[in-house]
Amino acid sequence: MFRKLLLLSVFAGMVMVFTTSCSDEDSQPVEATVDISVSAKPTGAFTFFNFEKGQVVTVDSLAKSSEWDFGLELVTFIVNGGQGRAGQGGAIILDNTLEGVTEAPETGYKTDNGADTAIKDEWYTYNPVARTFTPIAGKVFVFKTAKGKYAKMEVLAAVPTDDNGAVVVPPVVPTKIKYTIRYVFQPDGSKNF
Amino acid sequence: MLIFDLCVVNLYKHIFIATFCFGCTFLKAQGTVSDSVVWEQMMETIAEETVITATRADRSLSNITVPTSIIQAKSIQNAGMIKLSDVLQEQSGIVVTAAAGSSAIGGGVFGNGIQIQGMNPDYTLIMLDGEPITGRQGGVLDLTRFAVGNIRKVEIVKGPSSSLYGSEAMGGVVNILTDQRRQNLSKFSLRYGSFRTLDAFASLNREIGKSSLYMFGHYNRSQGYDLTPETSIKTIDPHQDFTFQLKWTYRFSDKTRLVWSNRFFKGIQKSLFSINQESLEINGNGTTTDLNVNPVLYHRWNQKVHSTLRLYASLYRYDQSLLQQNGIVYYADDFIQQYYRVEQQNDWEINKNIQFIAGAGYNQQVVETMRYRDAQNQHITYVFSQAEIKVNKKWTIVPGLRYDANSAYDSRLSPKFSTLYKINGYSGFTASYGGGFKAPDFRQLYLSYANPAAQGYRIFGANEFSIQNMENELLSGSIAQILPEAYHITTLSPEISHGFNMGYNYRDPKQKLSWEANLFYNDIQNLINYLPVAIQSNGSFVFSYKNTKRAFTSGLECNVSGNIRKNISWSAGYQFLFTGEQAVISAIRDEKVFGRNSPTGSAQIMKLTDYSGLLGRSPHMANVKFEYTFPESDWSANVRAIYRSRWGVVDLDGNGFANMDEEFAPGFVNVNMSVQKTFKKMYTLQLAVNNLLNHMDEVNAPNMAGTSVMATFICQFSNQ
Repeated sequence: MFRKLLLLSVFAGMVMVFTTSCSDEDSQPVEATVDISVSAKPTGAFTFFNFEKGQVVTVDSLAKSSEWDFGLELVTFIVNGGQGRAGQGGAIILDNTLEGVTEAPETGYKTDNGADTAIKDEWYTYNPVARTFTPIAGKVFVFKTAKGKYAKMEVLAAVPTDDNGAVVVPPVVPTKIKYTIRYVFQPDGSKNF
Repeated sequence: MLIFDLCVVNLYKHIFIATFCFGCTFLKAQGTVSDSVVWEQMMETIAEETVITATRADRSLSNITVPTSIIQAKSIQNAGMIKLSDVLQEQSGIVVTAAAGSSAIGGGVFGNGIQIQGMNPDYTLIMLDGEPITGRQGGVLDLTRFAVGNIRKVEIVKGPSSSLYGSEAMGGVVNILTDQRRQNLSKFSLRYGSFRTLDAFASLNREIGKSSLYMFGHYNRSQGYDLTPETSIKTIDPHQDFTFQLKWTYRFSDKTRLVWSNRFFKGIQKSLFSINQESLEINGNGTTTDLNVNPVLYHRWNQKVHSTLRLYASLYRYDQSLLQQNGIVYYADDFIQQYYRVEQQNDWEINKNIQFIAGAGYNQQVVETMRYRDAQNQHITYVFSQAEIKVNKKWTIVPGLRYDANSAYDSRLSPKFSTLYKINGYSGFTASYGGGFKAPDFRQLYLSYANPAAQGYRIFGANEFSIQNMENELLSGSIAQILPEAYHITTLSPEISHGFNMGYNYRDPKQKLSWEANLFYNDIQNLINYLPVAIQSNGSFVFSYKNTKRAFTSGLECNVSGNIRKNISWSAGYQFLFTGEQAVISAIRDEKVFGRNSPTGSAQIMKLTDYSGLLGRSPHMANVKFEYTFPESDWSANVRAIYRSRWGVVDLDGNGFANMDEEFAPGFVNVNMSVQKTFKKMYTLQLAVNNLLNHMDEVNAPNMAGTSVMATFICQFSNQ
């Protein structure tokens, strides 16, 4: 009887250790707020971001690389999925708070296909007098990464700057835009955030 | 029309024997100085204020069915004010909107307009002697263009009056009535004060046989001021302007009379500033020219019918040329607006209880600017009618209707119905419904403008925008992306409003405590907004215009006035304003609207308590005024305080309204005062101090200089 109990408790202990280690290593979503400085000129010189690494990455070939999850230039987002893309990425924009999105949607992810891009202009407003972009509060980007995992993201700020990162105001024309993004990445491949 | 003549005198208080006026007109034809003062004082106690703007016919204020206020020349003079914008900003429920007068591209063009019942300056019709004033820049008619020395009174009618005046009479109508009196009176005023402001005017009234002549000349100059000396751009540029008015009345007979008014204005604004981190100096002038010619013929057919024929021609020009120090043009535009109008109105007293007016008019406008492809031409034909019906001794109803047909956008029918119920001789209820409209303005129709800056945007009026051109540019590569909205740009409709007003007023016969309150609600539809329609390959946008939004303004305005003993008069006013977009409110209820609590904060669900309504609106505004007069010694002094609560100025989180502190301009209290003494009934010396509390806000209230001081000398005499 005592042995049985001991065995059981050891087994229960093992299960507990196993499950904790599991959630510690894989299923805990990663949350971060980062600044990304991107080109303010629409020349095709995108800045690429990788959620798994949590940073901007250099990409030799936009079309052949699966190392990036989204690219950004001025106000144009591209995703790593669709025509001429190597990854299995996609994106969907939800009207919600970041906390409000607890699960990535099952379907509805759009990909880039020529002029029909996954992310259009629905997430910002532009004031031609002040010449400022304003990211609209309550637009949550749910990304499917190049490798098929999920991340949710909101744009907190977009500040026009010069090449050195100093804030510029009109009539000075910015060369860069410094974005502040907040995201939650789910490394285990599930849709739960 | 006799009453009309009479009211040139500065009537300040009201009582109820209007009929007495008839006789007095003739008594007053000639007189010495002391006579005139005595007469004025007498009139103050016997005559009632009248209003022409509310019904297109002169009516005593106590018979007016819509919210109306009057500013008399005397209170303008006593306050020591130079510009019309200064006068209006002290009135209840009126906000003078401000844009820097500085010279950054297009700078200063927005000037100082007014917000009535929470509606933008574009939605208020400004008239000079009953004729519309043209020359709006960015939708705003700059009220600093108008001197006040020639003003007899300013009438303000709140709520829509499109049934009488057509487009723009949506939030209200401001009618500036200039002087003319049947007496030989000369007036001279000289003023000097802060910012090297020099202001001088002279006016002359002459009776020559069957003619009356009124001449007015005004000169104003100021070196402007700079609320942020650390930047190279001045807040208000140095400027000078000159006004000349000549008004001639000729009485053919007792029945026929011609009033011919001419006004010329020229203003020059000097700009000097530097751009590109102070490396490039820009220098130049902006010149405003305004010319109005306005002959009006009055004829009385018989006791019951009279007619008015009005002709009006106006030319407005704003010529701005800014050069870089190397001689290259940095910015130049020459905006010319010509406006011609002929209008005929008939007033018919059908019987004691029914007064009927009907009229028709035609106007033509031509606008030329470098921002439009060609000179643009528009004409409007309109008819209007109105009946004032006394149902019984206590109850009056006033229905009215106007139809505007035009060449460039949808035609419009504007109804109005107002009513007055007099409880007794002192108090009554008013209620009105009015349809208002504002025609799409020239820039919304015809603008074709490319910002000259390296990464400049382009903006096209709805009639100039071509999806075909955009598609061609997409092929040629100058456009990177056409946005879906581009396919929905079509013919614009007028912006329309439905306005409701309900009021009560009590006029104390002993003038101890009079008060009035008015509730208003304006539902505005088809609001025209610019929106991005394409992205250029240089990263900037292409914009065009579309009827998009619906909004409302509503609130309560209260005014109280009275006298404490014999020598202190006081007044107080308050307006509560609640504005917004119906769609936003229902979206907030559905928890579909988001915002940030700080500029870089995460999005939150917005609650109704976070909603501040339309930008630029203060929920609370108040004013208090005291005037002390010591008639024995010819001294008088007044203090006026104006309060405006904070208002939203910018949207930093894309939800379209202000919800975080960073999105608001701070509220303020502005205190102005003046002291004056009159010598020998002819000379007046005045000292005025404005903005005593020294409130300064370069970004949100550039029209408010710091504390400033003005000294004025006025000389007024009558000569035979």
